[in-house]
Amino acid sequence: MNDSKLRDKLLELETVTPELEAKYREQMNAILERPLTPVSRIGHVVGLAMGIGFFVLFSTVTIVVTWLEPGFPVLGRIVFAVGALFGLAFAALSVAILRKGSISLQLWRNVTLKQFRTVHPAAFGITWTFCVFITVACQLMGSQMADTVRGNQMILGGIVAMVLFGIPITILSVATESELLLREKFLQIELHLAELRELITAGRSDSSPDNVKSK
Amino acid sequence: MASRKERIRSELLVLRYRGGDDGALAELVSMWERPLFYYIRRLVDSEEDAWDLLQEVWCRVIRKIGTLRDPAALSAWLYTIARNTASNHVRNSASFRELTEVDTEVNAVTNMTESSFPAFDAEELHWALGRLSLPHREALILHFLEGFSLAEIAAIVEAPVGTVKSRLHHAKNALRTVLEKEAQRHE
Repeated sequence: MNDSKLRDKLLELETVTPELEAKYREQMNAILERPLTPVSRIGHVVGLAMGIGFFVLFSTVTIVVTWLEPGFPVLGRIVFAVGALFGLAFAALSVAILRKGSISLQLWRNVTLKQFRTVHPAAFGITWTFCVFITVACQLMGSQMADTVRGNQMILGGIVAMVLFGIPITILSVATESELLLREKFLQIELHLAELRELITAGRSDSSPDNVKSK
Repeated sequence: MASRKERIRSELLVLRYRGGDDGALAELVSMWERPLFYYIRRLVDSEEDAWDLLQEVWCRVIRKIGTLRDPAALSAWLYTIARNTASNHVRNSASFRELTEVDTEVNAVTNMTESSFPAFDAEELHWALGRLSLPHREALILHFLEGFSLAEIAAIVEAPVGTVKSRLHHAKNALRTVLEKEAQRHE
């Protein structure tokens, strides 16, 4: 068994009392809380306004197409209803953050892209899911339409939504991850050089005239 | 011991935290809390105390991380803080006095090398560690868990390298004895 595996196994063997661990986690969460800055508070107020706006807009449209437009595609109605839910979720999240007045740093533990650390991961997740949903729905509706021109417009709209939201985010994410990987590689090279230097130094001291004489 | 990748990752996290990335701290906590808890748990008798001390360790880390000159030395630095925190907690206990005693049998073990450690089964080792004296237990954990060099262990436990060498030597023998006795008991 190598040293790293032995370490992992030893750590796995440690038994803990769940209640005590939960208490520790609760206290650590409090330590790792970051209070909202005035700027981020304004950002969340804007998020709340947008969420309410989206909810009002999409729910109105959903009601209108459901009651006044019986021929409107079912998938289209679902898209509007999901849009209303998205607005509601965003507004609820903003209210929760503003009420709490702080954000736990634990939330960003696995978020590599620093730019996104100004956005709440849940807000990012909600928005991203909504974009993907809209894109897929546009593709589906476009492919099912009898009017090919409108169908193609739908498909194109879905692609534009993906290009507008998805691709820049992916590029930024890949760029940042690559930068980190590059730094890691530099650190690894540094490490290898240090080991090599140690070996050379040890070799020199072994073959120094004093050592040879004493041998 | 922590893999090279983990150490490099930790170094990067320290750099990122210093660069204003607060989330890196949470990642550091998540990466190191289990090994540090294992270490602290072996130094104090109560599990509840171990959790409290671990929390105190992180408070100290947050306060002092700016003073860490070399991010590559993070693991040794964390263990030093963990040890000092645990020591303050058990300062007056007999076990702590045992920890600070200087070993006098240094010369007998000057030829010991780290590679002379035999391979141990993790479960046996975990069980046997609890049956060793505190200084021996501590030396072995620092050796097995993080693979610290003699000099690094000496810095963490604030003892001369010779003392650490001696402790490791005796700890290894004590460990072997405990495991052999246990094996005989089962035969």
